[in-house]
Amino acid sequence: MRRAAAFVLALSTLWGGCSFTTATGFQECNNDTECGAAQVCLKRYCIPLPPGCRRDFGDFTSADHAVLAAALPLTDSLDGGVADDSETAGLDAFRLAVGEANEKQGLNGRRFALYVCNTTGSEDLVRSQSAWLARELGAPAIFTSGSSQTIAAAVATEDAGAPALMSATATSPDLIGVFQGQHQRVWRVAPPDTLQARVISDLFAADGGVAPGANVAVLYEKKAYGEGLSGALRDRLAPRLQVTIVPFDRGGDINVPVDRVNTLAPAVTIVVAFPPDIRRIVERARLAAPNLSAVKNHRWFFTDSAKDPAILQGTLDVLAGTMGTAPAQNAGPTFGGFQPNFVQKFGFDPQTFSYTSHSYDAMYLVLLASAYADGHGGLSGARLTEGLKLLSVQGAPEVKLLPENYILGTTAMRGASPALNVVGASGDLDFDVDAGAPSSKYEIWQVLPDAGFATLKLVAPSGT
Amino acid sequence: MRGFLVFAVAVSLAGAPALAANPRAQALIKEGDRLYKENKYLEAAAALKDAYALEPNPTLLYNIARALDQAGELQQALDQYRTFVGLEGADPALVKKANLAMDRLRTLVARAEADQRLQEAERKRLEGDAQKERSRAQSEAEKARLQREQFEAEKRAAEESANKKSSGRKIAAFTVGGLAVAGLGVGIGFGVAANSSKSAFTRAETVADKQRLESETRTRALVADVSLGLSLAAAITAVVLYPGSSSGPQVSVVPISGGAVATVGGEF
Repeated sequence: MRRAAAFVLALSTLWGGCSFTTATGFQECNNDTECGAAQVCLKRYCIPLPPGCRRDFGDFTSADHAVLAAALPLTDSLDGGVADDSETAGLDAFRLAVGEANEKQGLNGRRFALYVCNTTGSEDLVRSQSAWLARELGAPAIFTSGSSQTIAAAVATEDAGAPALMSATATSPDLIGVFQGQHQRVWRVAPPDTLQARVISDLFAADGGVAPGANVAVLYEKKAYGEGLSGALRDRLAPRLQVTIVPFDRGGDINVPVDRVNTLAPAVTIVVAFPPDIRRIVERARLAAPNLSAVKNHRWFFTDSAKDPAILQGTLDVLAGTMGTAPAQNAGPTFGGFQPNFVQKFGFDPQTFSYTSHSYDAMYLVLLASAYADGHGGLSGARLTEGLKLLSVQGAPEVKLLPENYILGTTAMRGASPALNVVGASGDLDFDVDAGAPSSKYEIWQVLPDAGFATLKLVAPSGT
Repeated sequence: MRGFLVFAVAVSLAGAPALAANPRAQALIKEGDRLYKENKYLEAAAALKDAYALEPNPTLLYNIARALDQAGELQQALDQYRTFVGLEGADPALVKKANLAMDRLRTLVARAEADQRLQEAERKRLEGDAQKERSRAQSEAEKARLQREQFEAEKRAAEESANKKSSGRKIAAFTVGGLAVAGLGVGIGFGVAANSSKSAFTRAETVADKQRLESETRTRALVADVSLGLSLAAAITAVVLYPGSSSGPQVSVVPISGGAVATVGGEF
C-alpha cells in the first residue's frame, strides 16, 4: 500500500510539474528592454539580433514603437575593425532626425526606434541582415549605403516583405534599373553618378583643366559604384581625352593596377575608391610609380567616396591640394538649420564627410512617408513607396525638412490629399520618379595642407 | 432355616446306612455344610450336587434345592424341589416342606417372571426409546452432517467464487496497473519531449520558429498532462481493485448441530 501511495504521489507530482513548469512562460517580453542587449522583442518573443546588428537609437521601451532599420558598413570587421567615419557621420545624421521626430511625438504618438546592422562592406552580410530586418523585424524601410550594398539589399528583400530602401550615398546609374524593376521601392537622396561624371567632364574641359588628348586613367573598384561611375566617366571624357579604365578589387591587390596606370603615364588619375584602398594606392604610387608623382606633373583626382579625412593618414604630403567632386552637402535651403544642430549634438562639422546632410534628408523623407503610410493603411514598404512619391510634387506646399516643420509635414501626409514639395539640407530634392533619385548640385572640394577639406565651388551638372 | 442345612440324613439315616458311604461324598457333604454356614450358597449347592452325583440321596436333593433357594436361584430351587418330591424314598416331612417351598417358590418365580416380563417390557420399551433416540440422534447428526456439507460446499463455492472474483480483480488490477505504467511512460516521454521543445523554443531565433515550438511544446505538455492524469486515475483504480486492499470486518456463519455459530473477525 505504501508503494502504491508513493507511486500515486510521484504521478501527481509529475502531472503538476509538467503543466506548471513546461507549458508556461512563452510570453517572454513586452518590449525590447525586457530582452537581452542583443535581442529584440517581436510578438512577445525575445529574438536574437543577427551578428552585427543592434538596437541603436530611439524608443525601445514601447511595445508599439515604429521600426526603422539601417544596414551600413560602419567598420570593416564585426570584431571592431577600422571604423568608416563617413558612415558613422551619416548614422549620426539619422539619429539627429529620429530624435527630432520623437521629440515631436513621433508617428502620431508612437515613437521611432532605429535598429542598425554593420555590414562591414560585405554583400553577404548586407543580404542576410536586410532580409532579417525585413522578414523578422518587419521594418517597412531600410537605409542602406553604397550602390552595391543597396542592390544586394534590394534583391534580398524582394521576397521578404519588400520594404522601401533608402540610400543616402548610393550613386550608381545601375540603381535606375533597380528602381524600375523593384516596384519603385529603391530610393536614394544622392544624385546618380552620371551627373557626377558630367561635372568632372565639365571641370576637365574648363580652363586650367586637362588638355585635349591628354592621357587620363580611371582607377576604379570593381563594384557597382566604381563600375557605374567609371563607365559614365569613360563615356563623358572619351570624346576629348585618352581614357583608360583600370579596375581593381576592393581590398585586393592594387600593385598590379597601380603599376599598369604608371605605364600609361597619365596626366590625371581619377580614383574611384574608398579611403582604405586610396591610401594603399597612393602609397604604392609613392614607392613604385614615378610617373604618378607631382614631379611628372601627374595629378590625382577623386570622387565623392574620397571626401573623408581617412584618406589623408600618411598621405597628406602627396594629396595636399588634390581636388575631387561630391554631391553638394550644403546645397539645400535647410543646411543652415541642420548644420548647427548637428554640430551641437555631435561636435563636428557635417561637411567633414560626404553625404552627411543627405543622410539627414533621407531620414526625414522616410519619416514623412511613414506618416502617410500610417494614415493610409499602415506601415509597409508599398505604402512608404507611395508616400515617397508624394514628397516631391511640383506645386504642392513647400516644406523644409527641419524639426520645426515635422508636425506640419506629417499632418499633411496623414491627410486626405497628401502632397508636399520638400526641400532638404542636401538640395531641393526634386525627385525624378522614374529614377528614384534627385538631381543635385555638386561641390568641387580640395584637400587643404592642414588635412581639412575646402569647398571651392558648387556647380550644377551641365544639361540639368 | 437358613442357617443350616437339614442333615436329616444323619437323623434319617441314623442306624440307616450313611447318607454317604462314599468318603468322597461325605467330604463333599461336609464341605457343602461348611459353605452353607458361611452363606456361600451357590458353592454349597455345587458341592452337594457333586455329592449327589456320587451318592444320589434324595435328601441331598432337598438340601441342594434349599441352597439354591437361599442363593436366590428360585427356578433351579423349584426344579430341585419338584424332582425331590417325585423321588421315592423322599422324607414325607421334607416332601411337605418341599411342597410348601414350591408354593412359595412358584409365587416368587411367577412374580419374578412377571417382574422379568415387566423389566423385559420396560427394557424393550427403553430399548425402543433408546433406539428411537439413537435414530433421532442419527437423523439429527445426518441432518447436521448434510447441513455442514452443504455449508462447506457453499463456502467452497463462495471461496471459489471469491477466488475467481479475486483472481478476476487481480487481473483487472494488473491490467489497469499496466495501463497506469504505460500512461506514465507516455507521460514521461511527452514530458521530456515537451521540455526539449521548450529548450528549442528558448533557443529559437525567428518568430515563426518560436510560434511553432510554442505550439509544439503546449501540445506535448498537454499530451503529457493527459497521459499522467489518466495514469494517476488508473493507478488509483488499480490500488482499489487489487484484492485484499479493503480491510473491513469479516463475518462467517458455521452451522452446527442444533444451530449455527457466527464469528466476526478483522485485522488491526
